[in-house]
Amino acid sequence: MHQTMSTSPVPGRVGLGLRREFVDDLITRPTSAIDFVEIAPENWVNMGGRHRAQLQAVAEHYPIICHGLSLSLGGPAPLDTDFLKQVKGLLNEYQVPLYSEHLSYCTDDGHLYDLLPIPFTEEAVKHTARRIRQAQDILGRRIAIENVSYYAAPGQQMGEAEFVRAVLDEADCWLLLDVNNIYVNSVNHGYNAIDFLRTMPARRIAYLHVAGHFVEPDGLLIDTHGMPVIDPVWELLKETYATFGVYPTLLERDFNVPPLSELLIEMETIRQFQQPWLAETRTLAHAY
Amino acid sequence: MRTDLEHTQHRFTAHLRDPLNAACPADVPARRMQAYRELLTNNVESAISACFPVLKELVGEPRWRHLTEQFFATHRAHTPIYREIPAEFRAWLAATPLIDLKQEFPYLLELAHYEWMELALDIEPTEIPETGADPHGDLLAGIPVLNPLARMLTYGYPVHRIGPDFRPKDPDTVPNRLIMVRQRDHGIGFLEINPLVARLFEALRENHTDSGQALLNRLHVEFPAIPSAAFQAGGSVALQELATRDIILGTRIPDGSTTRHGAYP
Repeated sequence: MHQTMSTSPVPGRVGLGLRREFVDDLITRPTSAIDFVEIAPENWVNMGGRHRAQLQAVAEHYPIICHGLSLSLGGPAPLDTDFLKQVKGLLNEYQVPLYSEHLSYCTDDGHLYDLLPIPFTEEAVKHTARRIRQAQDILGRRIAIENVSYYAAPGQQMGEAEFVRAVLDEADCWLLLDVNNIYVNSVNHGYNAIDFLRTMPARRIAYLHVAGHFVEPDGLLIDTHGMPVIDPVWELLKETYATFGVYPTLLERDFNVPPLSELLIEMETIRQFQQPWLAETRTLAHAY
Repeated sequence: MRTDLEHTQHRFTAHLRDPLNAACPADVPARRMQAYRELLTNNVESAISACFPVLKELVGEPRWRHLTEQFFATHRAHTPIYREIPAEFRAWLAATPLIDLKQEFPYLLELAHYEWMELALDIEPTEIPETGADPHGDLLAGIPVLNPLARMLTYGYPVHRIGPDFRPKDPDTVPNRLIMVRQRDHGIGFLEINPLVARLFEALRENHTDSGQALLNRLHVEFPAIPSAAFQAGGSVALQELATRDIILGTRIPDGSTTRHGAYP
């Protein structure tokens, strides 16, 4: 039933999540160290003035992919098809090759503005996959969904990895594999990150996310994207390349944003970690 | 009828929105719910605070925090766009009694409108047309073209001067009229205006045929107390001032030509 998925639609090896803090740097001093830039459509759709001007300037120098926040794929309220059509307009206008969203929800009968944990149940698999398919039908393209950090698992009837795989298969969509989220969840829920990683379906991976997180005083990890990437997450990224081969990888930094030069150093680290596995990836791709 | 899934989700979000009035789901540790609650309320508070810095400073912590949490608990926002959260907050402020707060800050809604307007113009999808107006045209001889991103605002309170050191108890006896505009460089500009300029701005908005001079002649009838020469001089200066601030974009260029002078050699 599922067609064989092709190689990643993401253009390039190493990307950076766009932030206002450094958007002017990106425009005035374009750098080849950034292969692609990721934007949240929620921050750019239907906006004029300096916002449109900035996005147009960024698009002149870098390929853009979209990473949504508010679609609420697992939510109880009807899918916001008006918003989805706005996103479609943005994807077309900037020739965006991939739109990713979260395997999460952010609405009840209104928006709550952060990523909530979809109950890991068979019913939720069906519900969420149906909405992903609906989104894909409206957009006329396959989307990617990200494994999220979750701090609670209400109504849990199945494991996280099983849930993620079931939704991916049922919706027939791409996976945005967030390596930091695997690490954060493995600590917060006491499982082995590498074991989890190995259960993810390689043929569905479109790209990877890597980021820093915040450690609460009691040890709970919060996925804030507000710190540099830590060593255990770097190790897990290396393990990901060793396991699946190289995939396009995006660095996220949303709070405490440092000068661009510091982020470029982290991106160079990603590139170095990819290097040993590049030949391997060609072999793997051939095997599909 | 809600499904099991909807029940689980609504129980979860009900507690996140209003922990005092909705119980924590039995299978979720309170510490983990608290983590979610902090993420959500911080997001909403920072999206709102970014738009209303003066209002926030006047109301002060912790009341501001409480106000945004009250908004989060009771209001159902339908925009997926974070920058549109302040518009929802402003509408909620207007629709919610908040009697004590509105008594202490009688200018609350006007100030909220004024601060929100700056954001609204900043993100407004309409752009300044690149053609159709000659910025060097003679504003008296030609037909002045208004910037579609210029807004006239009228407030009882001098909202543009309110701050920690100036908290008026009563509205002014004459309305405060301002023009707020998104300029060609995308910056937001403000101009305090008198009744004459306000009338001129209104007339400009409706005018598509009269030259600046003809417009001033027409308006003078409404201000008979001002001698003709003074009215003409004042009007001319006002037109120039509006153009300097991009409120007037220039003089109209007929369709099909790119510059007034270039079109007719």
